[in-house]
Amino acid sequence: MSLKLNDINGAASEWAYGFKATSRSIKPVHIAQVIFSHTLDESYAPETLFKFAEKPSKTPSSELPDEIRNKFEISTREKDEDLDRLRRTMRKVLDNDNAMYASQRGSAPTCTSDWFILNPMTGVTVGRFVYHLISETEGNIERKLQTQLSDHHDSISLLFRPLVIDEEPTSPSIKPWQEPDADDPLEDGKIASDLRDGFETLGKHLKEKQGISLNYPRDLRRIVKFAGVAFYLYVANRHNELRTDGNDRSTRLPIVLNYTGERNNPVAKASLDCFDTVATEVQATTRLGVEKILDQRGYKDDSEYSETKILEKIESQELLELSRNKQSKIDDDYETFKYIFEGDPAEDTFDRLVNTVSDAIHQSRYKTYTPVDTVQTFGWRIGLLKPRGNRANERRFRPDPEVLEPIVLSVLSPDESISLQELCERLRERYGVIVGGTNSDRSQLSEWGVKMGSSTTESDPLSNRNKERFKQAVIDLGYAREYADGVTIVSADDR
Amino acid sequence: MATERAKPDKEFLTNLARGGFAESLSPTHRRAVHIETKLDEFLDQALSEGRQVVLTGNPGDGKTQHILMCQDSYPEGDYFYLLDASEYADYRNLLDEWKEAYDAGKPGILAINDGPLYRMTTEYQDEYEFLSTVEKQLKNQIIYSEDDAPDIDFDDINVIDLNNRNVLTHSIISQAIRRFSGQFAMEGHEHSGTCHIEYNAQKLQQKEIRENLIDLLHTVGHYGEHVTVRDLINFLCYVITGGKEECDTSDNEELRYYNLAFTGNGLLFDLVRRQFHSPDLVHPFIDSHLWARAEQKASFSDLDDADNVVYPQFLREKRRFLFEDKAIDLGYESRKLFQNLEYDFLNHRNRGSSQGDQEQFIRLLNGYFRSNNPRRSELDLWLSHRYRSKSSLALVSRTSVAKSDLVIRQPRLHPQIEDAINYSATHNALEYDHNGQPVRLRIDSNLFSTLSALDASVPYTLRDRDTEQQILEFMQEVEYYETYSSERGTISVKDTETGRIETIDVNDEIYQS
Repeated sequence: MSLKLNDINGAASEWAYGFKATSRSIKPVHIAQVIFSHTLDESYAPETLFKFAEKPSKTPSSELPDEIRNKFEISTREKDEDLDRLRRTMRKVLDNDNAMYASQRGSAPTCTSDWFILNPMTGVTVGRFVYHLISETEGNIERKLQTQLSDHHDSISLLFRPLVIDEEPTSPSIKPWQEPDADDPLEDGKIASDLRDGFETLGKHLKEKQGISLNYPRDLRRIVKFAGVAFYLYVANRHNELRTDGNDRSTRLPIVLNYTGERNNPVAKASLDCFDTVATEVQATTRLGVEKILDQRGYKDDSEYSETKILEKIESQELLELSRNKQSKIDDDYETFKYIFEGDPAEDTFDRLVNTVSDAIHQSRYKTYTPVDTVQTFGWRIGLLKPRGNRANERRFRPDPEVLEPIVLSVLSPDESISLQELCERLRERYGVIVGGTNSDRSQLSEWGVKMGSSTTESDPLSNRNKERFKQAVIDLGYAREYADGVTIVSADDR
Repeated sequence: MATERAKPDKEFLTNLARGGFAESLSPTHRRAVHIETKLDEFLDQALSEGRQVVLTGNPGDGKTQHILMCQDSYPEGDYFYLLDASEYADYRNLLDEWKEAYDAGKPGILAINDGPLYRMTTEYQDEYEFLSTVEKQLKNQIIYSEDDAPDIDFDDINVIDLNNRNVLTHSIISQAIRRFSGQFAMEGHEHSGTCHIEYNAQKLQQKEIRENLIDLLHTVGHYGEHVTVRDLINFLCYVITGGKEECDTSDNEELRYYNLAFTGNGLLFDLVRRQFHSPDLVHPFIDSHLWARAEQKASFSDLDDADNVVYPQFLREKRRFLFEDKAIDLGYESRKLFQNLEYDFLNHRNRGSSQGDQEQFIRLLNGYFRSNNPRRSELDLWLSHRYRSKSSLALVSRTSVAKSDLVIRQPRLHPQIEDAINYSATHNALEYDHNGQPVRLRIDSNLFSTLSALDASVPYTLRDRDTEQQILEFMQEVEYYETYSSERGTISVKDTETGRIETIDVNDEIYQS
């Protein structure tokens, strides 16, 4: 049996997370589509809408079917030109999340109501995990989501109404989230249970129906933004929850938010270290998964996979199943694989094979989408990491206000007033988010090997400038007020 | 009243310049530095009428100073005073004493910083009933309309939050300058010639210079930062002494008041520097003349070094001009520079509740999203919606709200305490009211200048994204309360990259253009 690295990668991911975190193309709107379709238990296949939204350069308006053209009573002589222009502008509304593709497969239009919910193909298992967290709450979020999504009074829904009104909803492929084989992630003390509780609390802040409608799509964004953060934190913390080597840490993986506005200071460096630690931990999770999958598939069998036999299979190019056409590329792939295998220091042959497969998965030449790439790319797309963009490097944690808001609301009940320190404490304990200001910041960082150096100009840059600017960010959101004697009270009431 | 003669001296002045405060002053000095404000009269009346006053705010707001001043006329024993809440490790001890005095109907003054006071009201309200009144007053110091003012009992207790006090008024600054540039600065000199303290004090006693300093400080008050009495006193004392107790008769220009005003440490200095470096303070005519004067005074042999030598001299010239414009005589008054700053916003803020201003602001908001939209009668509501972390490619609008549903509100002090302190609003608010639930857009100078810039044809692509987000959030809140047809309406879509707007009617299942 030959090894298909992509399959091993996917299976390892499912074993560890309960979903395939192996798609760099996953975007927040994809997760939105899955959460919404599962909440509603229905989706649409708006062919008319997609035909209309095609780029006029691909399908000029003059070539649109009559059923679409007849929906437009345009009085000018240049109807086709006007329609082309109108389509280009309207397409931008649907494509505000940059996820409209030439084919519908994988497409995810920006959505404010059920009319735009497709049966999603991308990010479906990740979305099911997040939906599972939501469905594990008392139901506030689902009820409010259903009301919001079935409301068509917002401007975007009305704008596309003539193109979607005739569509009948269909049942999407609703499946429950499959718990990973590794363990139950929602056990008390694990981060998924805190994230579920976060959704519970966030749900209490969402608006209720006003009169006959619930026209407040902002709440949809709050849920999806928090869902993105939940996905990131869950993946980042799995290795620590799964490892059995006795080296597990007692705290969450630290996520230092860099509010200093700079890149060259101890806080910024610690934030970068945390980013790197996430990568290391996610890669280590993959290794655990690979070990399990290879074991399940019989690669521990010495008689078949001794060092000599593995090297023979490499030599005869039987070990790997590669999606290559050119023999020279296949030769290169085997050469690299052999190089990694021979160089691995593990004494046990199976361990060496596991290490080699895990390392190969994380090498771009094998064209596998690694969980590391998936989660880090998603991190900047959701607005948790900066700078954004494919080509940026040295990313640090600096959430957009739209991301910080649901994070804060997820740990703050509507009727609560807490101190800023208590907020920092909750964020650190539940999510590992560190901004400074708690007594355990440094010990947690130290436990994870993240260095918080000293500054030549500030006594404690984490607890001083960084915390101050974080405080200001919460004040700017309207959720905190500063009083004398260093007292800052955080409350959702203050808005 | 004590009859002890005041013995002010420059040492005391220097101490204040370095951050000295009321608790460390002798009774004589305390009385000598006290600046009379509306609060003195309010406290006098409250105590004589048997009320308790809770003075809250930040350190440096003058709470202790007021208590110590009142104790001369209203002696401790007959009256209840609390000088420092932070001395109590357990708030219950403080609250027990307070309750006892309150139950006994004993008038008094309590100085409690707002942080501890907030904690007391939230953590101990169940045990001490009067804290409920305190909390209500604390939360309703500022109101947006008479209707907005909740019915709170002010009969026995009055909470005054000095965070809301504007000390940068003409009257207070003028009084303070006279106080500190007078006998404090001029007495106790035993040297020949004129030292830096005498020089600065004499200059500040000149009416023109004093008025210019008042104008400058009054203007920085518009930045909306909370300046305390202590900040003001520290600033003035530093401007006179430079923090140097020893008299310097060397004619050192760095120790002249116009340079010291920009070189000290503290909030007021930061604001003054911010003002000085504001692009609005650049004036081609004045600056070119002052640069020419600086070039004449600066000596340099190499033209390449000229800027390095001339610029510091230019700074000194310009600083001096801000106060001594008449003496420098460029035919232009420095106060006109200040008065032009944020004129439009201040004008709007001061007059903002009239119908004309409401319509003008609606026009500005409409014009932000749709240039050349002169509509004043209704406000278009725009929606931005996306899940990714990037600016919207498109904004959508389907409706508007009538101007009759909107009103411009000016924040003001609760009527029961408006005689206690001077309050200057840093903003107005555009208010939409839905069954008593107001939704407000804060109109501060930042928002106003963003809207005005676009109104003056600055391209939309150069907009401030944070400000736009603030406007859009307000509009979404309003849309939440409005009810619309789900079948028909006129929709506008704005392409944020090109600025182009497409508008189309949706009528059930048909588009009409």
